[in-house]
Amino acid sequence: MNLRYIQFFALIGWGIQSELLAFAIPIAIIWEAQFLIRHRWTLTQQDFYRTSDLTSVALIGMFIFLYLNRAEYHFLITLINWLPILIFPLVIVIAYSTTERMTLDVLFYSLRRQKQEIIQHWDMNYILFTFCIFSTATNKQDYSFYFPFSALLITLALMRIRSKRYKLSVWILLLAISFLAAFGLQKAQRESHLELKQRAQIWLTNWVQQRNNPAKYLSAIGSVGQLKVSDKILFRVHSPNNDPIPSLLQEASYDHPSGNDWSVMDANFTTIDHLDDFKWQLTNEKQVTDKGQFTNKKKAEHQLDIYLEFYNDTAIVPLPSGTTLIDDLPALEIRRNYYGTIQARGLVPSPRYKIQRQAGQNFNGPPTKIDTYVPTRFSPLISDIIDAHQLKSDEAINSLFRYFKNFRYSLYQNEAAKEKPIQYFLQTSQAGHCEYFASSTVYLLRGMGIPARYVVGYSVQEYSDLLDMYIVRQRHAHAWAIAYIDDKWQVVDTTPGIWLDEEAAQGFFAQPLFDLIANTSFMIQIWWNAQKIEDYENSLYGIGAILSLILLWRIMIGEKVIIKKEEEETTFGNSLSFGTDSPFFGLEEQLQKRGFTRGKGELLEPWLSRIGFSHLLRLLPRHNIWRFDPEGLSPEQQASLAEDVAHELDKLNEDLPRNS
Amino acid sequence: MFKNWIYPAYARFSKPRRTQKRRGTDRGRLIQTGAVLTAILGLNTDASLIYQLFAFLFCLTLISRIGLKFHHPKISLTRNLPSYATVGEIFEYQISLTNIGNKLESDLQIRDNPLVVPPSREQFKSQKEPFEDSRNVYDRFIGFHRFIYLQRINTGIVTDQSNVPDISRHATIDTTIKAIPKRRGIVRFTSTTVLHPDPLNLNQGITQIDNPESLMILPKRYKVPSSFNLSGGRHFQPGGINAAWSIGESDEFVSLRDYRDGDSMKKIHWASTAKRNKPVVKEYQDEYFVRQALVLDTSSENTDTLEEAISLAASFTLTLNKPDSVLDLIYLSDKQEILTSGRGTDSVNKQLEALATLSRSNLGLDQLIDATLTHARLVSAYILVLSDWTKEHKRLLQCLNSAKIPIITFIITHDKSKFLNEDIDAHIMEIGEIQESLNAL
Repeated sequence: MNLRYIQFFALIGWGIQSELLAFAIPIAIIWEAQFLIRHRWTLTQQDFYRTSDLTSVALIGMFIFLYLNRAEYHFLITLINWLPILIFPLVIVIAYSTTERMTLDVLFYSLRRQKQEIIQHWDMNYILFTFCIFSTATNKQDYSFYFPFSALLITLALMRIRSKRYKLSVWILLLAISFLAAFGLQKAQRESHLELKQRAQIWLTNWVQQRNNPAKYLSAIGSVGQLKVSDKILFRVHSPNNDPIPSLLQEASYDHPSGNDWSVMDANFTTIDHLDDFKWQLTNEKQVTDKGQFTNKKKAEHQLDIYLEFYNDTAIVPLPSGTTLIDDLPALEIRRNYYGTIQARGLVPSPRYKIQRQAGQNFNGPPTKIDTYVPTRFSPLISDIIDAHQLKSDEAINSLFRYFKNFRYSLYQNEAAKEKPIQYFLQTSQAGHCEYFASSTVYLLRGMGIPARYVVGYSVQEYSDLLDMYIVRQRHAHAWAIAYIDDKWQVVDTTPGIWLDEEAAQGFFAQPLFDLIANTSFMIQIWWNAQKIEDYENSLYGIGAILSLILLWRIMIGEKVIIKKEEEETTFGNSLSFGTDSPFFGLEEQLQKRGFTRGKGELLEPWLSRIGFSHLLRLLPRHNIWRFDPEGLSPEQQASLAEDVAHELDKLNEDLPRNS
Repeated sequence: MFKNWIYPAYARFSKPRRTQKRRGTDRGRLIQTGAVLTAILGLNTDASLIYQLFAFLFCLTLISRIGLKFHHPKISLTRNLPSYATVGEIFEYQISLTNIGNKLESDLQIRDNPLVVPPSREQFKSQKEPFEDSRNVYDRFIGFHRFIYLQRINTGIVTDQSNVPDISRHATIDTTIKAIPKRRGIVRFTSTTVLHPDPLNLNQGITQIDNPESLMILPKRYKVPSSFNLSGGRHFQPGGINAAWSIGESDEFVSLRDYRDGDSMKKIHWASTAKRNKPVVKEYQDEYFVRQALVLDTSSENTDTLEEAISLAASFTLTLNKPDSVLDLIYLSDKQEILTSGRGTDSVNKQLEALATLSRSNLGLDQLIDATLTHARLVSAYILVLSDWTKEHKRLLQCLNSAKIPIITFIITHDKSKFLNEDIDAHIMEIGEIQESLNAL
């Protein structure tokens, strides 16, 4: 079958499956029209370069668009889906030009300066065909459509190139075997993928839980040497109403010490109801009264935007204490544990979420017995310290700050800290990072009989003038303690305030440059999200129309040739057909029809003599001049020959009518 | 550095392997690349149906390869090469294929395999491809194009793949192969490959048939204008071989003229000499055969100028070989060489063959001066083709000038502007513009 029809089917099939029929139909029509329109344009290599550049710009534009809208579209799949549209300008420019194949310098900018002749070329028709089949596969509107569709197209394409070396039956048999095998293979692929996914999910869940786990926290306490911190920007915090920015964002809190790490006693989560698709109410009046520890009085609510994009399906959401409402967080489910840790599942990447919070509140569950538990290996030491430094429960927080006044912040721990890190920290080194301070603070508070928990999250400190926002880096990850004093949870962060400067000093020298890049791309994205594509729709169509008109105009003013069937023949062919309009051939035909067969290669003269029509020989010289002399006969001579021939024909009809 | 490191890899992979059994066609390669690509992109069967496309492409490739195992062609063949071919000029030759099997052989293709000679490590590092500087940075760094170019030059000939018409059983047909020689000298063919398609026509099976043969490739030649002529002082004088019908001297007296250097004393017309008080000689009908010498300098270390000098010499060899003239080709190989052609001495083809296989000589230019001067009394004019311009060459030119024989000198160079300030009586031929310079003679 002709490539023309196969390509047409491929385009329409792609349009149906990808739901891009509005593009596929015009493309297919323009494609088909090339076989009906006989005009071709003689384009220069420069014109091809321009078209290729246009395609490249479109591709880059598509990249940027898809990246900025990655929350809405699947990046790669959408790109592949649109490929036929993107390469179509090149295909069509070649189709309507006098050039048949496109050399690679059109596609590759780096080859354009080369003086060596570029002989490698691609047949863009095949590439468009391949892309159509390929792009159709990216959309799974209808599972049952694709397999027979591509089988049909491949069969048609292979039929075009079938070798006559093999019998048709062999070809059909082998193709059938191929398709059956392919059917089995794709089934097996799908099944094994599902099986693998199931197994991997179990394995992955176990693995992930150790890392991103609201039930257990693995601390760096006890690790020796310099702790590495990263300057990478994790998220940004902004208050739209200029409300005070909370200095700490909590990820999770823990009540149970296990070795150097922390875990929770109650690992259960309860799902939070959502107000609408992306809005989640964390507290409500009912909950407040049930739990008892919240006041019924509505407090002033602060608003906060957190520009954090989740790339994982499941993640803990960093929140300031007292958060009552989360908005614009696209997730399937949000759940909370007893300790106020919020976990989102089925997350879709989205640039930011908004929260409302009540300042000074902390929605950790009320203290339990475990919140005053000090592991027995620490209890003698803790009691000693409390006694020696006269730490009192009635002014617990102040006395703790007093106690930690002489401690140093350090990311470095030597070998001696390996065995009993907390004891070594409290007794000997008096130097450590936030996890040491937070753990020790929890133990000391508990030693004084005050319920306390260990909390991890981020410290919000660094303000960026450029963005008018707070920036939170990876090294701003922090741990602190909360204590249940005066019937509410209060933050007790005993880590020396100098810790941020200490960690900043370790920063990479080129970090400002990276920050600039990250912040600029962030700003572009913020700007993009603020735009509504509908506002620009008309302008975009306008620009598109103007560009198309310019392209059309450039093509129209280009040199134009008309291809004719005759021109496709070679010069040799033309010289053979010269003079075939001599009227004498009509006479010859009539004679042949009356049974005077002329032998193959038999010259006219002997033939006419043989069949007894020697009186026609007088016409031969003029016929031969008409037939073979490049200068031919004059119009008068042509007319006289035609007249003579007509006369002879009449005579022939009289003497030997055809039906006789 | 990088070129040194990558060289073995190129040398290994660019050589066709004798054990090769299969070749992909363009569409076969498209399908195989597609299979690899879809295998990667289709891993997630949840995201798309690309995995179904992979299944297709993979199975088609597999079946196509299995299909290659059957219906190998049964063919014997002979090659009919011309005696000579010329560098850069496309020529055609025939291969006769005979179907020795009992089935019709159709859809075959053949390609003729010259002996592939990869460049040596040194050559790869030092010799550049023409216009290499216009290639992009990556291509220049990788050097693959340079390797392929040098390999093509070393191999000496590029042949086209050719379609074979259907051959019914026990029949013989001729297939024309188009080839273009890339360098002068002897080119060796090793085998001929018969390619047959698989049933799906995606790949081609290979049948190698040993078919060793060699072909002499003559140097590239320029068109020398027909007006080009050397003046010789001894025109209209009897010479070494007479083209006379009768036995003995049969010189036809034509006129008298003034004596010139080199005229024989025997031909002095004493009466006129006495009358005019200066020597006068008799002139005869011009039966003298023009004997000229073409002196080729092969001392240049630059391959480009040497090649062009040889091409120019070959061009003159053909132009100056007229039925009534004799041409001596003087050059140095490992010894002094003088090849004479014309008037029954030897054919011009001998000289062209010598030029075709000529390489750079390490002998000093003194040897060339010696050979030329010894020969001076036999010839009426010199054409001197120099592949370089050094002090030695200057001396050579001076020595030849001292022999007082008409001489035309050609100097091949990369850069004409170097000679702007020099006072030389020579034609400076810049590489790339030699034909233009010749036309202007």
